[in-house]
Amino acid sequence: MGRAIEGLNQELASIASGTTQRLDCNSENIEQGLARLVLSLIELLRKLLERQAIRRMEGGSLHDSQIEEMGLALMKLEQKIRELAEHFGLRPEDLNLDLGPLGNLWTDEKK
Amino acid sequence: MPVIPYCILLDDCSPNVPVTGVGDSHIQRLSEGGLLALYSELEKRNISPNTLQSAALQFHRVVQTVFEHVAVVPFRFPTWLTPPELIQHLQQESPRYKAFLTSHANYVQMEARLASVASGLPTNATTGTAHLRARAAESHRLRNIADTLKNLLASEVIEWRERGTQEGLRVYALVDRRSITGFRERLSKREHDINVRWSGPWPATEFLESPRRSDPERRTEKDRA
Repeated sequence: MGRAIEGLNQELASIASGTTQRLDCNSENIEQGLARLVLSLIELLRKLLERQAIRRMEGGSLHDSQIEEMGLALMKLEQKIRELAEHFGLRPEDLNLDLGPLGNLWTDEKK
Repeated sequence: MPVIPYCILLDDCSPNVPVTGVGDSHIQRLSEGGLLALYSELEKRNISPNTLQSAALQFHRVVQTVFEHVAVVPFRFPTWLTPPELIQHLQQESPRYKAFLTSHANYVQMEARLASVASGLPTNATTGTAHLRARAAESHRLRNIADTLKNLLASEVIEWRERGTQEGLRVYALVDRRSITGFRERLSKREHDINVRWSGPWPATEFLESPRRSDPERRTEKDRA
């Protein structure tokens, strides 16, 4: 129960911050706002690419060297996104943009 | 004045509606196209980051009170519309919402959040192959938990839906209101897992089909625009 309440509080805090800070590109924090937008899109692409790479790896359509190469590239990309996000004072959850009534940027389609 | 809509239900049902909602505002009703929308007129400045939590709880209380007895399509909190936008929404979505509310009149949704052990964390892998294999293994672990839950609860559940999230996986079960007790009893037989968090019953919105892009009516509207 405690974890559920904590989770709800986090979501509310996220909504609260979203009402005033969602891509708030004013003159003082335009760098952070733009970084958030760009890094969110790159992170979305990284997740999609990683999923596709896993599918192909498990489907047997990649050689060992290709698996290693793709895995390494995705691992480095993830590290770089994390470093850049930290540099701009962004948390990992900040890269999942709140798109209002549409929900968040990154969530899977219904299965 | 903008309105904050709570939920939509079939116009011909007799809901139990609280008198007041968000910010102690009066709850009003709007009938359109066989649907009934519940909403409050509210100035946006009445909801600030400081009052958001209490407003969200008031919003949730209204939706839950109505949902206790009838099926609803809830709005996401906070959604702001003008009265003409609310009317237009009801007109546009009337066929889809009416079909859903009629076919799912007695159904609710139970939700499980399956947390990824390494949620949002980089793998400790030192090679690219190990990185991909670690991610694949975590995905399979969540898949196995979801399948185990589905097998355990199969007799009580009408349909399942899933969504991958940043934290892991969310699993939604469509359950008849009369089966909620049986569902919980079956669930209680399972060993407690701190990485699986159940909640519900909620309105069965995950089972509301998305609007079809090729819908001829919509295409006509678009063409007119």
